Amino acid sequence: MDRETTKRLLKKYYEGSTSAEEERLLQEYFGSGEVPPELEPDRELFAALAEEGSEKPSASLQGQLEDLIDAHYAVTTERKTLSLRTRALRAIPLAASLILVLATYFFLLSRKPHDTYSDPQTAYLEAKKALLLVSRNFNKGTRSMAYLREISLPATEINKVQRTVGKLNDLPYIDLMPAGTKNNGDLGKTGEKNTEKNKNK
Amino acid sequence: MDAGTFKETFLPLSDRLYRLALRFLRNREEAEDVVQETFLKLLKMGDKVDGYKSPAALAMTLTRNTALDRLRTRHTVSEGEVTLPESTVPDDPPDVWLDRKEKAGRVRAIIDALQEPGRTVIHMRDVEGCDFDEIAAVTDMTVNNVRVVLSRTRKKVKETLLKEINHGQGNNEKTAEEIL
Repeated sequence: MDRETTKRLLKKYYEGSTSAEEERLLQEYFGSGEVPPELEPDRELFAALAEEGSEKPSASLQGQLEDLIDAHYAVTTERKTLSLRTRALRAIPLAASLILVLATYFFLLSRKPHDTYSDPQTAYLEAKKALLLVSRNFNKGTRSMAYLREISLPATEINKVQRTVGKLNDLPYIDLMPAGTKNNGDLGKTGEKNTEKNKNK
Repeated sequence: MDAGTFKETFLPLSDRLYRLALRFLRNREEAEDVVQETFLKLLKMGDKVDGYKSPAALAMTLTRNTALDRLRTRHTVSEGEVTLPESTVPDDPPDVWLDRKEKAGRVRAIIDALQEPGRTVIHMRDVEGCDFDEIAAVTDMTVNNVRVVLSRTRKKVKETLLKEINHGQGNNEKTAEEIL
């Protein structure tokens, strides 16, 4: 590479517009040997960059990284198969209940209700008769419970009394202690305080 | 993504990721830690990894974030290995007392001290030879912005380097004067 080309490429280099190929040419030029003294700083720069690029980690790093990768993949594959099994186990009761629900549904669906009466009039009367029977028996049942009301009657009387007492409580408050006696009480208290003070002295 | 594909995709990136982390932390052990952490994060992502266009950009983004987080929580600079090259000089001429290794250290220190995102951009482009799309994805910028930042950063590095060279020569002359 002649001096003119070198200078042109260097100018481009400092403008940040050299291509990778041009930078390789510069690197090659400065690495090849002696350069004119005015290019010595540039040579120093390129030499330093090249040396930085030849830095290598210790030989053991590659192996350590491989171990990291292997350990990670060993753990994740183990976890995957494990979770697959637990997932299958968890699905069993779910599937069973689903089958049960579906089975019941289809069973009920397949059972068609069949008519007992061909004539709607008789069907109506029969239904009415059945309902009347239910009604009559129901009334019979409640009649036998009538005495319960008698039991609850006294309870309502008690409630009345309680209500009156409640009203009494709502009456306005009457002060049973006149003002004079109250003051006496206070005096007694201050007297006690005084004796305490005397003791302290 | 199965274990085999994961290894094929990400293991070849580990050197690059290491150098990126080293750029920020300047400590070999810590940089390796960050690479391991990045791999753990990638593994944790599981199938989400498949959704990314560029696995390399994803891995570099994670590495960068992890390293920058560590840098933020680091209490003192002394935890790193950062050793700036000495600028006090014996009587030998500069090109003798600064051998190439030390010169590389000088540029390295200049780049290490850069602000983000310039530091990431120049590292990804000039050390790793990444394309602009990748850099844009990692730094969350547009390709145009990446170009602008790259140009500005390259100029800044050279400028700082020139200053240091002149400073070094100045020092040299001074000591020479003092000796005389």
